[in-house]
Amino acid sequence: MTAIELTNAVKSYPEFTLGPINMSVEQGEFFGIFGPPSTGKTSILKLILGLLQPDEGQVVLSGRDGAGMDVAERGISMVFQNLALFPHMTGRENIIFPLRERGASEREIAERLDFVSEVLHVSHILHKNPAQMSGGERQRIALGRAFAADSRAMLLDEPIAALDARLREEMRVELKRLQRENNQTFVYVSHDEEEVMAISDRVAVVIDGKIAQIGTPDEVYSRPDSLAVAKVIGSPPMNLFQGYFDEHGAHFKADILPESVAISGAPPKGREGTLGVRPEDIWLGESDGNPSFEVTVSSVEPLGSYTIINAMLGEQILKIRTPGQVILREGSAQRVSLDSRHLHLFDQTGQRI
Amino acid sequence: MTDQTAPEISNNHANAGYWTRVARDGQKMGFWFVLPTLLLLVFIVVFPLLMQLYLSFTWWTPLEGIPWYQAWEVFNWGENYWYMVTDPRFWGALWRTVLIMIVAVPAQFFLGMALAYLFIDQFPGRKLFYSIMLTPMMIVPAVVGLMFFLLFQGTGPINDHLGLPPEFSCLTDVNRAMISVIIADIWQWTPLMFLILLAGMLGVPSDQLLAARLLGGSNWQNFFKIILPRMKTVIIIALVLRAVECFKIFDLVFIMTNGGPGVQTETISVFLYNQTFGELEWAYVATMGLSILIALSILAMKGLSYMAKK
Repeated sequence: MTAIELTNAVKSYPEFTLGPINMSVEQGEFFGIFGPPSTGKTSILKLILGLLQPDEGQVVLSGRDGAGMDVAERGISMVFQNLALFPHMTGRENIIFPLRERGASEREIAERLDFVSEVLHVSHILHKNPAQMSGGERQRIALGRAFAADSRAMLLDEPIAALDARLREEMRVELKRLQRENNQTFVYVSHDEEEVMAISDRVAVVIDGKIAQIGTPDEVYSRPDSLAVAKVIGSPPMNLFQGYFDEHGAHFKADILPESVAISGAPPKGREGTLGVRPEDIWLGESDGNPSFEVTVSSVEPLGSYTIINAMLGEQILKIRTPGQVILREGSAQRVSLDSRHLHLFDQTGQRI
Repeated sequence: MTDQTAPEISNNHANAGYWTRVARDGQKMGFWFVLPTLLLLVFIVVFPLLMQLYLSFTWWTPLEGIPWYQAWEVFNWGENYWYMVTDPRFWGALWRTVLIMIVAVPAQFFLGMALAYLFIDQFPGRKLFYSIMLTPMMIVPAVVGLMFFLLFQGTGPINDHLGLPPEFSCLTDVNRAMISVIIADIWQWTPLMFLILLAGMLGVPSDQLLAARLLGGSNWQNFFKIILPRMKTVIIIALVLRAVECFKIFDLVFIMTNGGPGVQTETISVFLYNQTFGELEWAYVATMGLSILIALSILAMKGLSYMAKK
C-alpha cells in the first residue's frame, strides 16, 4: 500500500521552483531523500506535512488527497533536526505529549509509554529534563515522542546530523531496527550521502528542486541515471573524463586518456560526452582487457581498511580507492587500469547511456 | 616618580602623602570616585526619609509658624499613625487604588496577550498595525488624561455617538467615574503589556510550536502547554511592572476627575497630593508616605524571594 504519494507536485518560489515531484513511499518502507544542501529536501517534507500546499499536482496520503487535510489530521509525525523537544517538560511528558493531545486514556498512555521507552531504551531518563540529557538521550526522547504518536508515517529531517560520528552510526542502526520491528513508514532526509545510503530501502536523489533519480541505494550508486546524480553520490566522488563518442559508436575517446575505451549500447555517434569511473573501479597495475595508463601519485590517504590515492593525470586529479593498505611513494609513476565492466557513460545532456 | 625603581617606590610607600597613597590603592581611589554620588544620594534619599520620619511624629504643618527642624515642639508620640489607621479616607483611597490595579492590570494582560498572539503570525499590514498599537503608550499620561476628559464629557463625542444626553456624564457620576478612569488606563497601558508579551511569545522557538502542532496539539492546547509555560518569566515581569506602575497612578485621575466626584476616584497618589497642597497636612502626608513605602518594600521583598525560589 502506498503511504505517501506525490504526483506532479510543484511549488514555486520567486527564485526557485520545486518539482514537479513524483514519488511514492510504500507502507513500511524506509525512504531516503538525499540531496546537496538547499535543494528543496525540506520543502518536500513540508509538502508532505501540509505546511506547504503544492501550486500544482497533489499529495496523497494513504489514498486520501491531502489538499483538504489539516496538518494534525494527516497523522504524520516528524523528528526535527534540532529535535524541538519541549524544554519545560520531562522526558516522560515529552513522550506522552501526543497521547495526551489525542485524549488517550491513562491506561493507554501508560502502555504506550512503557512500549516506547522499552523500544528506545529510555526508561532511565524519563524523569530528566531535556537540558539534563546528553545529545544521544535527547535524540531518543525526540524519536520516542514522534514514535508515541503512532502515526501513519514518520518524517526525519536530518535527525542525527548534530551527533558525533560514533553516536550517529549507533543511532543509524537503532533507527533501522525501530523502523523494521514496528513496520513503520520512515521518510528520512539528509544531505549526508553515506547516512541515507546506509539505512534506506530506496533513495530519492534531489538536485535543484527536482528528483533526479529514485532507486535502491545500490541502483543509485552503481547505475546513476545522470551525470548530476553520479556527481553527488559516492565518496570520494566519481572520476569524470570529458571526451567524445567515435563515429561508429563503439568507442569513447576521453581527451585525457591515451587510449579509447570500448563501449556498448547506443551512444550518440560523434558527439561529446563524459565517462565516469568510481574510485574503486580504478585498479593499480595492468589488467587484461582493461584500458590502462600511467599516472603520477600525488598523495596517499591510508584509512585502515582501504586507501585513497590521489593521482595526477595531466592536470586532472584522479581518486583511486583500493582495499587494504598500499605503500606508494609520492611523486612516483604508477600504472593503473579501469575496470571496463563498471564504466558510466553520459551523453552531452548528462543522461546515462 | 616614573623614573624611580621598584624598591624605592615600596620604601616611599609608608611616608608618602595621603593622596599619593590614594593614587596607588584602587580601593581608596574608588571611594573618592563614588563619594560625590554617595553624598548626592544621602541628600536626596536618606535626608528626606529621615526628615519624613521626624515630621511624621509631630503635628507640624507649614502654617505652624516654626521651622520644620523645631517641629519637636509639637511632638505627638505617633498619633498621626493612629489617625491614619482610623482614617476612612485613607483606606478608601487605598482600596480604590487597589481596585484600579486589580481590574486594569488583568484587563491589560488579557488584551495584551490576545493581541500578541494575533501578532505572532504574519498578515498584511502587520507593521502598520504594530506601530498604531504602540502609540497610546508613547503619549504623555497627562495628555491621555486630557483626551479622555474630553471624550467622556457630558457633551463629548462618546455621549454624542451613543446618543446619550449631556446629563449622562461619565466623569461626574459616582459609579461611572471610576470605570472611565480604568478604561483610560487600560487604553494607555495595554500596548506596553502587548509589547512585552509579544517579545516573550516570539522567543518561543517556532520549531517547538510546529512539533506540537504535528503531534496533534490544537492551537488552544499549544498555547497553554507550550507558549504559556515558556513565557512564565516574561509574564511575571510584565505583571509586576504594571502593578507597581498602576499603584502610582496619578496623572490620569488628577486630570480626568481630580479624585471626584467627591472622593469616588481618589487614589493614594491623588489623596497624598490633596493632603499636601490642599490641606497642607505635611506631617500626616509624611506618615502615610512612609507607611506605604515600608508596606510596599516588604511586599516587594516577599514577592522577589518567592520568585527567586521558583
